[in-house]
Amino acid sequence: MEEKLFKFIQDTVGRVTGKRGLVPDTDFVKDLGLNSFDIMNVVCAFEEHFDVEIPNRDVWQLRQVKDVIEYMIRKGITDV
Amino acid sequence: MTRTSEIMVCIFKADDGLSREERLLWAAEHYFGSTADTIPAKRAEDGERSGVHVERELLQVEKTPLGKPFFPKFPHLHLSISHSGTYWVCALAPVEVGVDIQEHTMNRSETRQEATSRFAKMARRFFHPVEAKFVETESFYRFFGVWAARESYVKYTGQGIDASFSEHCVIPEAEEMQQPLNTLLGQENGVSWQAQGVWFWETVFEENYTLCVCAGEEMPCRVIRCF
Repeated sequence: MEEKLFKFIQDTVGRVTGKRGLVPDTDFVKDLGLNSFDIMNVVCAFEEHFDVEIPNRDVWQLRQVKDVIEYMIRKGITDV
Repeated sequence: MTRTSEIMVCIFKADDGLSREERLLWAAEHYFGSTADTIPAKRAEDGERSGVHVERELLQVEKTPLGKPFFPKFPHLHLSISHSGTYWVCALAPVEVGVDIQEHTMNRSETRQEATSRFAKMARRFFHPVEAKFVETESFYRFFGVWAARESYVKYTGQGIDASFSEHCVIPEAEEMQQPLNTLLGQENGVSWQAQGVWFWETVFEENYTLCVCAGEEMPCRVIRCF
């Protein structure tokens, strides 16, 4: 399950920002150099795909790829 | 060192090989009076001992719990940093300041029409209703104009993007007062307006970047291209 989620994150970030080479410890800001606009773009892609709304206050807790995977599992998203 | 009464925005290439500290040092020395146009010129100026020298340790940067950078040893010099695409920008000012630069980007394999429609949707998701309405037409450029203004505002306040991000409108609410923003493109000197009790100055940089500065009061804004 986590592998499928990871692959989905990898594909979405790649499609939206053009950034590749993600690993679970990748930090979106420090390692990929994403700015707020890039991150909100990724958030919108997630929201559209899963038809959910991610509160702004939650977005900035999701610093690394593994944080997003944990968040998705907590929210009951286990299949992409 | 004298305290200046202007906002200085320095634009650097993100891949210039300089560290954040080197860029800030160069920017601070310019702020306090160095006239060198480029970093090599600044180094030559230093060699002649005619430049303005700022001790590197004075420019040690710390961040507030919400992420706003500041100089703990230089409390009268305010700072804001932004990056997008191939540029890295810092603003220095004698008052609280926020700066944002944003490249006009689209997703990979997305048409301009698709991007425009997506930006209108993002505006409804993240912007104040007045801003979202403003972005409904000519979404592509207006979206980036409002986005950069919003970002500069939350950097100015130090709040960052939080639960209240959509609550504040950063453009004039009266439609007739929004006119200057419609003509942002092609305005070399940029446009300025007031909203939320603060002052905004915005310009389009190299045709596909929007640059916005937000400060508590109107003051001259000097942009230096450090490349």
